[in-house]
Amino acid sequence: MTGVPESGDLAIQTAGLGKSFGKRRAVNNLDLAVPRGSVFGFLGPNGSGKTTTIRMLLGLATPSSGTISLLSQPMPAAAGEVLPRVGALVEGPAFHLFLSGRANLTRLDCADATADRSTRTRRVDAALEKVGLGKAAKLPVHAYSLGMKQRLGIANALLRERELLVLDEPTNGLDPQGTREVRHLISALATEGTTVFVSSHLLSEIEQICSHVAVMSVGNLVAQGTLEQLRAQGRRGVKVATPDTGVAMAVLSRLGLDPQVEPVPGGEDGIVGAVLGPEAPEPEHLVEGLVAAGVRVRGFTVQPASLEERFVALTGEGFDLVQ
Amino acid sequence: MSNRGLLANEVVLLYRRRRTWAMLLALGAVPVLIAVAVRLTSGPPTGRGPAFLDRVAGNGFFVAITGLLVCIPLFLPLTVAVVAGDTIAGEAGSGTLRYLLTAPVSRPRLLLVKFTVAALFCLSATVMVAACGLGIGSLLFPVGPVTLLSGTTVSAPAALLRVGLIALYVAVSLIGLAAVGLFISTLTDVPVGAMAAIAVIAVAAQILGQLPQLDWLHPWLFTHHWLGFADLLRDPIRWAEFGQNALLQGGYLLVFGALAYGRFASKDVLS
Amino acid sequence: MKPAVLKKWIPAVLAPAVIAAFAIGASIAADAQVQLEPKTPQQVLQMIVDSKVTDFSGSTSATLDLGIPRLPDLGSNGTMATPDASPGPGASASPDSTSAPPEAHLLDMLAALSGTHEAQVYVDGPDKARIQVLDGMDEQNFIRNGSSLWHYDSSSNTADHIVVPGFPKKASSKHSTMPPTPGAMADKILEAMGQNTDMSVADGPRIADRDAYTLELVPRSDDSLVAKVSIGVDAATGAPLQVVVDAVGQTNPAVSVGFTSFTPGTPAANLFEFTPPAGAKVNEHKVPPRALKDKPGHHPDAANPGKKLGHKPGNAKPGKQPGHRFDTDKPGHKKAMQRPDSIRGTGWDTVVVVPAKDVPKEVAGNAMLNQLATPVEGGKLLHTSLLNVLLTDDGRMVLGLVSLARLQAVANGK
Repeated sequence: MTGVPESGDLAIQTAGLGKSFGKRRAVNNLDLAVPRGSVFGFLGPNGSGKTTTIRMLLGLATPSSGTISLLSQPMPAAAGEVLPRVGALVEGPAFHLFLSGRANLTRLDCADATADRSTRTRRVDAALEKVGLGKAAKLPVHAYSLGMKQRLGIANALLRERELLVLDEPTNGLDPQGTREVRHLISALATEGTTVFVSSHLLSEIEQICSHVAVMSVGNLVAQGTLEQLRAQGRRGVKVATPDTGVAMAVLSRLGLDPQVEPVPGGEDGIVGAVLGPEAPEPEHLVEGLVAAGVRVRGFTVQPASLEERFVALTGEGFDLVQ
Repeated sequence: MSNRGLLANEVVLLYRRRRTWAMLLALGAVPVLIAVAVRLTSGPPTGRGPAFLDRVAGNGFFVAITGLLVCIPLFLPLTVAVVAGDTIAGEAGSGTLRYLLTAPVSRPRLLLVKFTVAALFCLSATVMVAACGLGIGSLLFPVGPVTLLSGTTVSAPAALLRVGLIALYVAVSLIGLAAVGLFISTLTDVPVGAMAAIAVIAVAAQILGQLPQLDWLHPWLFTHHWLGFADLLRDPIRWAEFGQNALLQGGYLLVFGALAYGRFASKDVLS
Repeated sequence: MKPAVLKKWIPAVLAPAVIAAFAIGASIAADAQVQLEPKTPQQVLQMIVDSKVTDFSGSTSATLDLGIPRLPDLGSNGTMATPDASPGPGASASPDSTSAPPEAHLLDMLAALSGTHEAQVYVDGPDKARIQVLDGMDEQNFIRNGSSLWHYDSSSNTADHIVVPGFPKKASSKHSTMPPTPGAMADKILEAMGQNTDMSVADGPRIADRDAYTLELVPRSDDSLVAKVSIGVDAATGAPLQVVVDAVGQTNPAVSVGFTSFTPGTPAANLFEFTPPAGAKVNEHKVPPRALKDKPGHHPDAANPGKKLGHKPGNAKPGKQPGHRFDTDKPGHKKAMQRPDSIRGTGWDTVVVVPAKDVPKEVAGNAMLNQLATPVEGGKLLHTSLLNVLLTDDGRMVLGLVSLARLQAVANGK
């Protein structure tokens, strides 16, 4: 949308990226731009094409159309060079259950032909330690809880120093405590300069840590930018507490708003709320108009634009999002 | 060289699976059962049962050979089907495939490593049968110079070498099936389905090999030379069969290896 | 992206293509018409006769397709009788099955023989030879070293040893059970030719990976079941490498015997030394009992005049020795020699009439034979693509490599 940085500064860039499965288009004409050093939230309800996009970014699936540049190199052509610099957690963790957590990580590190054998043990242990699995390292994975498996998946992404982390729903299955830890981890990594591309269907999970956000809906990218940019597109709202709800409604309607009475249980005052569109009068003018019309304004609040609201506006709500 | 770490790891993984050992032990039990049965019934049956069975009581070496002979049509193909069917489909089914590929392993390299492991299993399986046969054979029966099919008698060490050659021959015989299995394994994310399909193919190929109407096809079946190891028990050894078998299996490896590559390299990993 | 995906399948297309190219190339190379110096049939025959290859080894393959149904094994296993293209049909049983005359086993043996059989052949001069008949998981060995003859059967782990004084003048009957070598087969056909055969030479395909002439013999007869006999002759050494007999009205050769590999040169000496393995049952025969008992007046030279060792120059011919043994015990010949009046006609049209009193009961009363035989005018016919046997209503047996009409004509006394 706006503020797209130079392509050299982009950790991920896609142009016209699309993927069809038969006749169904899972991802449509996607132009992602993930700046280096950002914590990039990739938002969208389940089934909006996030995971398919991530699979294409990592070379697991071949795009039907468009191009991908990962760390300034084309994917999937340069997968062998690029992927060692990318840590990934895709669609939940998956491990050999009869192997220990450490053995699973060792195996994946062996798979990376560019990984240094001499530091393997140390790096595996460090990664386990980082996600708090140091004590469970020797347990077979089938003894792990879902949260532990999730952490092990994150540990896999941290086996080496990565320039980019692609984390697909990293907080899935984690308890609030675990969620918090993952957020801390991501923040810490971002501070060290790692670009983090993190997907979620829950805005609240990542809102606090993201610097940039993109929103997917039904295979399309519907918004992209910094958190502030996205938030700025959101609309503020006003709430008027008054006993004269009828008059207030009339005044606000006259001023071009679409007011609604919000029921307040057991109170004398009613609340009239309205969303401030881009062309709406400033709040002070609203108050002025209300007062002039004799509305007893007992309370007037301006609610700042909420990302949640914006998210819901972009993606729809409830279970009818996915066709 | 870059394959070494992964290959070593995959080999360890193969032999750390309980399933692998269950199969190897089941295979090893075949010659043991044969030997014990012959021992208990005392007196070699004449002219009945698999070839060489009547020689078992006279010389323990033949336990190994009879064991291999008995295992070739079904038991060995079944175990190879399990291992080969699991190569790619198993990783895909458990989801670990996506982590291997993003580690990253290039897909041809993963295929190569997986096939090498399957081929190694072919060898382990035959060696297991032969070794168990030699072990139980030397326990229950006398072991000494062996009379070859040509009537020549070779010393025990030379006979041991022949048994080794037969095990190698049988292992090579299974390479084609392993290659077919590798390809089938790239077609699905359900390992059990791949295993079943491979086992069915192994049996079907043998049935086709029995139909005289299809004798034009027979030299092209990967099962065609499966029982040809008798030529290693002749004097002089007839290498022609060994060579033809190796060539045929190599052909299967080439074709189905290429098919597996075509399929796997262009496949979307969505599991 | 599409071209990239297609590119991944290139090896999958190339691999079978390369293999197909190799397979086709190999078969083209094998079938390639070799440009050889043109020769007349006489010259090719001379090559065979002059052949000086006394030492060689090779693999042979014999295929028999007589167009008869496969029968269940009637217990004559271990018997490796040989296909026989000469006029004078018959096959011999091994010494163990002397109880039944060869004719009784004729059909089931032919049926058992149908298909392809392989053998390794080693020959070192006129008095050392070894044939290994490869029989699945078993093997039959026939080893001759001077006057000592060994037969070893791995399936029964039995060895027979015969010392034949004065060998090679006399052959052992038991060795008629080994498959014919190309040399022997060529000789048989040459001897049968006479004036009634069209001969020609074709630059045939390579045989056993060697350049070869193909001598083609076409019977000048309307009654013969033999359509063509092709003899492949090694261009370099003159050794016969292959004999193929085509039957009238059959696409596949009825009989095909030939080397699949042929190496001139002396095989390792220890191949001809046989020591019976410990534990094997050894039957010692000081003198071949059957040869004396069964064949009064029978002498190989008399039976096979064309095959007499001294008959041809350069008698130490490849394939001759094993062939010699193979040739001797031919009931047809035997009866022919004993009762010349029972032979009617000459050359390809030769018909043998066995009088009713000489027809073994096993033949006349054999249920299996009766089942296979088809009723025809004047009797019952046993038909194979090369040989017809007519069991007449009056109990005679009339047989030959000829059409039924000719047999019936002979049976009716013409």
